[in-house]
Amino acid sequence: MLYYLNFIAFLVVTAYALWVFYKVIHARITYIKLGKPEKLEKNTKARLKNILSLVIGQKKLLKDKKSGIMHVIFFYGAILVQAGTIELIIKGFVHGFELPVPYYNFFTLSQEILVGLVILAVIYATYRRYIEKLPRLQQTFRAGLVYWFLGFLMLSIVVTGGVEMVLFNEEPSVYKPLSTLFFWLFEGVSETTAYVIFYIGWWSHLLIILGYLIYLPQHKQAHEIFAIINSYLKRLHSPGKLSSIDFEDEEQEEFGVGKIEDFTQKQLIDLYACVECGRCTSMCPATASGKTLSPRELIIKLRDHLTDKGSVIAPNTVPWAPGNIFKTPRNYPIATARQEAAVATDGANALESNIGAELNLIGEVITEQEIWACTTCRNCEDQCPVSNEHVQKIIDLRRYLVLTMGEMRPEVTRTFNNIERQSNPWGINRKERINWRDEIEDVKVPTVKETDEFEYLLFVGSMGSFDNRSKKITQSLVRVLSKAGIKFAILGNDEKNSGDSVRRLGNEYLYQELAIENISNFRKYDVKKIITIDPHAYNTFKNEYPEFGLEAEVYHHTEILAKLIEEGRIKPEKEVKETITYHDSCYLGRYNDIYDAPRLILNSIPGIELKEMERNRQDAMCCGAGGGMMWLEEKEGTRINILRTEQALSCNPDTIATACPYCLTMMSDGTKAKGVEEEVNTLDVVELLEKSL
Amino acid sequence: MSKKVLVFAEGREGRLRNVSLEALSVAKLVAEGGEIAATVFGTQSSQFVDILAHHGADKVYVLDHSSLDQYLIEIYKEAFMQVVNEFKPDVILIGHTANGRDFAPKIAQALEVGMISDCTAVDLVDGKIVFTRPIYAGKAFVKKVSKDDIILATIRPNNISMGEPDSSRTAEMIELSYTPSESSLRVQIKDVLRKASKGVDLTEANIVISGGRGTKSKEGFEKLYELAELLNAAVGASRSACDEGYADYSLQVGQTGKVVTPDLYIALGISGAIQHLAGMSNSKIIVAVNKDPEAPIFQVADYGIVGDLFEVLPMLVEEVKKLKSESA
Amino acid sequence: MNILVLMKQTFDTEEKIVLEDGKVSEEGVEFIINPYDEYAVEEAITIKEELGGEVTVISLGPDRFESSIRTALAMGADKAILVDDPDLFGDEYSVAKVLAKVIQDQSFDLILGGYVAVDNGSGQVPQRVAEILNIPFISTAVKIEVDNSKVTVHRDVEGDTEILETNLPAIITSQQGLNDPRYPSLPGIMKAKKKPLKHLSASDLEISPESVQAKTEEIDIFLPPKKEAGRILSGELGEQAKELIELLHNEAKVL
Repeated sequence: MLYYLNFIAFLVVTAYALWVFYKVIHARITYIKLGKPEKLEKNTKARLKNILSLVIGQKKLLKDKKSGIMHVIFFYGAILVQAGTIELIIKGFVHGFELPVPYYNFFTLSQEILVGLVILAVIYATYRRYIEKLPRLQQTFRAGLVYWFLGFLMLSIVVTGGVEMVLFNEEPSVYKPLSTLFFWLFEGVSETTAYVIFYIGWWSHLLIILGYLIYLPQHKQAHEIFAIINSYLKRLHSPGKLSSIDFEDEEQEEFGVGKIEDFTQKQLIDLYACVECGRCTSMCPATASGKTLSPRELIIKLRDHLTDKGSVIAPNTVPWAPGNIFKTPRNYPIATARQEAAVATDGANALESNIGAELNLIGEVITEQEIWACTTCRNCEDQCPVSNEHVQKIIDLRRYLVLTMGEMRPEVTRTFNNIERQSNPWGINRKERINWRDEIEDVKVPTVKETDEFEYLLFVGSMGSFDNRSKKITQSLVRVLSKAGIKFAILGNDEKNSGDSVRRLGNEYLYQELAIENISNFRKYDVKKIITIDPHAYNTFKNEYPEFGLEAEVYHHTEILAKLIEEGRIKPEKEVKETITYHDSCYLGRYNDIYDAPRLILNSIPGIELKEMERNRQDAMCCGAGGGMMWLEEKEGTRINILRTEQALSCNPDTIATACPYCLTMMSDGTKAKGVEEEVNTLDVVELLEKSL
Repeated sequence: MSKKVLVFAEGREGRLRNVSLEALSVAKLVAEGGEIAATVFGTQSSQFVDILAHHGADKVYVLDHSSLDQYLIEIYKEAFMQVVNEFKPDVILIGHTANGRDFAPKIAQALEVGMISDCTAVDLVDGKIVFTRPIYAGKAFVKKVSKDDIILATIRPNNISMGEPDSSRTAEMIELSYTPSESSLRVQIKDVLRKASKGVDLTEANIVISGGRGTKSKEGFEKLYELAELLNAAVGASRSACDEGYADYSLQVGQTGKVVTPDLYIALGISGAIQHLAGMSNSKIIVAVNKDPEAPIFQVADYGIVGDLFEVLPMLVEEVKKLKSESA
Repeated sequence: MNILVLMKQTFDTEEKIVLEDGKVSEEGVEFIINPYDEYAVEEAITIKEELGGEVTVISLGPDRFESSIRTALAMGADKAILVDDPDLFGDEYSVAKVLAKVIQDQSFDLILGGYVAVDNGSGQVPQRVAEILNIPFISTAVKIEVDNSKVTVHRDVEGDTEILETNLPAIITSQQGLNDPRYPSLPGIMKAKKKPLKHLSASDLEISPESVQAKTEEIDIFLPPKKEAGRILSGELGEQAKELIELLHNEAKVL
C-alpha cells in the first residue's frame, strides 16, 4: 500500500515539477522570440568548436583560476552525479537496486568522490562569496541559493547511501567512504527507523532536484541552458565589426534599439545567459572610474525588464511559478522607486502591478548616462564566460538616441557637425589635412596623385594629420618607412575621417557616408595595401569596411615595423637605456589580437627593459578614449586615463609606450595630471624605434 | 561738396565712449567743411558737450530726459529721429556698440536708406565716401559706398584714430525736449542684471583670458580675474585647469567645452592641446604666455611671451592700467 | 504659436576665403545654417514643442540655400519659403523689404532670427523688418520665455543682462548661448524631404525689383594682409609686457 502511495506521490510531484518547468522556460523562450530574428552566419563546425572550448573546455571560466576550477567541479560533478541520482530514484522502488555497470565498486567510489568534491566546491564557493566577499560577487542570500541546493543534494546521496548500508547489513567499505560515515552514524537503529531515514533522504533528493529544475529558469541558473545555446550562437566574425543598418530599406522609421523588443533574439538570449558573476564589471573601466555604467547591471536590468515587459506583451505566459516564490526583486532602482510611490498612493495592490513593463527602455531602465559612458573596450566581452556581447547593445541604444531621436550631448553634436563638414572632429579646415607634410624636411611624402609607385597607402587619420602631438608619430613613421625603402603615398586632402568614432557614437548614417567615400578613394587610386597609425581606423578598415566594398589589405604600423625588423630591413642598433611599459590599445589587442608586434619591436631595441603592467594584453585596461569617448567630457567619477596612467606608473617606467594616438594623448594627459610629465615620457612605439636607428 | 554730419555720442557708466570721438574724427573727414553735430542722450549728458566740441562738434543736441538713461531701442530710435529731423544731416555716424548696432538699422529703415555697418576705415575717394568693413569675421574686407542722399554708417570701436582734441573749440548746445510716445514703450525693461565681478559670459565676450595647468592652483587661477575685470573680459580655462579643480567646468574652452571667437584671446599657462585649440583658434588675436617655448600654443599665437605667467600677469595689469589712464 | 524664422545660409566658419574675379569664391565651400540663425531655429522648435503651432523658415537667397533649409526642416521646422529670384537680391535694405513682404502674407505670433550673420556681419535685417512691420524688436537674446501673448527676453549687453518684456507679435534675435541646436534625427531628415518648401519670385510676391534695389554698393573686396607668423617678444619681461599691451592697442587694435 505504502509502496503504491509512494509511487503515485512520486509521479504526481514529478509531473507537476516538469509542467512548471515547462511553463517558466516556455515563458522565457517566448520573450526571447519577441526580439528581431537575426541571420546568423552558417558555420556549424566553428560553432561546435566554440561549444568544445567554452562549454566542454570551460575556457573563459578558467581565466579566473580559483573560481574556474570550482566551476569545473560543479559542472562536471553535477553532470556525472546524475548517474547516482538515477540509481537512487530507482532504489526508492526497487530496494537495493544497482546500476548494471562493470566494476560497480569503482562506480560507487567515483560517485562518492564527486559528491565530496562538489561539497568542497560548495564550501569554497560560499567562502568566496560570503567570507572573502569577492567584490564582483553579490552577497545576498538569493545569489548563493544554488549552493544550498547543491549541498543538500549531495548530502542526501550519502545519507541514503549510509542508511542503505545499515538496511542491507553491509560492511564499511573503502568504495563508499562518505556513505560509510553515515553508516556509522545510523548503525544500530531499527529497520523501521532506517526506512524512515532512507525515505526522508530519498524524498529530499527528489524534491531538491525537482525544486532546482523549477528554480533554474527563473534565476541566473538559467545560464545552464542559455549559456550553452549562447556559446553555440555567438558571433563568428571579428568582434570589431558592428552590425550595419540598411538605409536603403525605406520602410524603417526607427533605427537602433528604443524598446527591449528591438534587440535581436540572439541579444535577448544573452540576457538569460547571464550568471551575474561580475567578471565583466570587475574589468570595466567605466565602473572602475565611478561611472553609473556596470556591464553586469546593464544585462540584469535588461533581462528583468524583458521578463516584465514580456509578460505583458505575451499575457498567457507564466514567468514565475509556483506563485511568486522564485520571483527576483527588480534590479532597476527606478522601478523600485515607482513601485514604492504607487504603493503609497494605491496601497498594497500596487505591489502586484507590473511597473517594470511600463518603463522606457532608454532613460528609465537604462539611463543615458550609462549609455554614454562605455568606451567599447570589450574587456567585459572578453571576460564573459557565457559569451555575452555588451558593446553592440550599447551602440544599438546610442543609435536610437542619435538617429531616431536626435538626442545627444552638445559635444557629440559638435563632433558630428565637424566631421560632417570638415571631416575631422575639431572642425579644422579640411584643406589643412595635408599640412603635417610640410613640417618634415628630410622625407618626401607624395600623394597618390603625385606618384603611381606606391606599395602602401598611408592613411594618416585625423589625429595623425591635425593633432600636434600625433603628427610627430606620423612624421616618425614616415622617416622610418622611407629608411626601410618602403614606397608609400597619402591621400592628402582627399582623405576623410575614418568614421570609427562616428559609428561608435551611434551615427551609423554618417559613418556609412564616410566609409563609402574613403573606399571610393581607395579604389580610384588602386590601393592594395593600407597602413595606419590609428588602431581605430585599422579596425574599421579591416573588419567593417569590407562590408561596404573595401578589398585592400590593412596593416597597423606596428605589424609592418615588426615584419621589417624580422626581415632585417630595419636594424635597431643604438642603445635606448630605458625601462618601458607598454599600454595595449583595445582596438589592437582585444579587437584584433595584436599583442606581439609592438612588443617585438620594443624587445628588438637594444637597452630597453620591457616591464609589463599587471593588466596587460587581453586584460589591459582601456585608456578611456575609445567608443568616441575621446570627444566627450568625462564628468562623472574620476578619469579613466588617470587610473590607467597610475597602473603604468606602478612599473616605474622611464617611458610609457603606446601604439595608438588616442592612447598616447590619454597617457600623456595622465602623466601631466600626475605631475610626472618631466620624468616619464609617453611615446609611440615607432618613436622609440626611431631613436634606436 | 561739404556735408552736414550727425554723430551719435554714447555714454556708458558716466564716460563718453571713445568710439564717439572716433566717429567725430570720421565726421571731420567726410564733412569737408560742412557742419558737424553730435547728439547725447540722458540726464548726465550735458557734461559731454565740451569734449565733443574739442573733437570737432559744432553743435551738440542734448536730450536730457530720464527715460533715455536706460537704453531701449524704440526710445533711442524715436529720440534720434527727432534730432535727424531737426538737423537734417547728409551723413549719420553711430558707434558700432551693443546699442549703436542695435538701433542704427531702425534709423536706416525709418529713413529708407542704406546703411554700412561696422566700418573699420573711412576714406574720401573722388568726393565719394568709401567705407571699409570686414566680412567673414575679418577674413576679407569690402569697400562700400552708399547711393542715398543720407549716408548712414556705424563705426567699429578702436579702429579709427580719434584725432587730437582742440580745447579751444566750443559748440552750440541745443537742448531738445523728448517724451517717449506710447508706441516706443512697447518693450519694457524689467530688470538689469549687472555683470557680477566674475560674470562676463564666455561665449559673448570680446576678450577672453584663459588659464591652464600653468596657473598651478585655484588661488593661482583666481589671479586672472584682476586683469579680466580691467579689460571687461571673460575668464576661461583649459580642460586640465578644470580637471585639476583650479576652475569650474563651466569655464572650459575647447572641443568638449565652449567654443569662443573673441577679438582677443589671452592664453596664460596653456600648452595648446588640439582639444583646446578647437575651442579658440578662430579668435581674432591670440596672445600666449607660457614658460615652455616649445608649447604648441605659440604656433597659433599672434603674440607670445615666454615666461612665468605669475611674473607676467601683474606687469600686464600695470600696463593696462596705464593705458586706461592715458585714454581717459 | 506660429513662429517665423528668418534664416540665411553661410560659409562654414572654418572656410578660408578665396577671391576669384574680385568675388568671394564659393567653389568647394561647405555651407551651413548661419550659426546665429540656427539658435533661432532651435528656439522656435523648442517653443513649438511646448506650446504647439507651426514653425516656418523664411529665406532669401540662391538655390543652394535649399540644403540648409532642409536641415532646418529636419530639425523640426514645419515649412519653408525661399525667395530665390536673383532680381530681388541686393543689400540689407532689399532683403528686409522682400522678407517683410513675405511675412505680411503669413499669420504669426513671433519672428526669430540670428542677431547677425557670420558672412556679411552687418546685422541689420531683423531691425529693418521690425521697422517695416511696426512690431516690437529685441536683440541678442540669451533666454526667451513665452507666456500667452507676452514674451520675456534676457538680452545680453556687453556682459550685462537686461530683462525685457513685450507683447506679441514681436521680432527677437538670438545670441550665442541661447541654446544648443539639435542634431537632426534620421526620421526628421526623411520627413523634411516631404515638408513644403515654397519658392517665390518677384512676380509671386508682386514686388517690382526696382523698388527693392540695393541702397549701397560694393566697390571692392580684398583680403587682409596675410596673418604674420606669431611674434615671440623678447627682452626684459617688463618691457615685453609693455610692448604687448602697446601692440594690442595700436597694431591689433583689440584693446
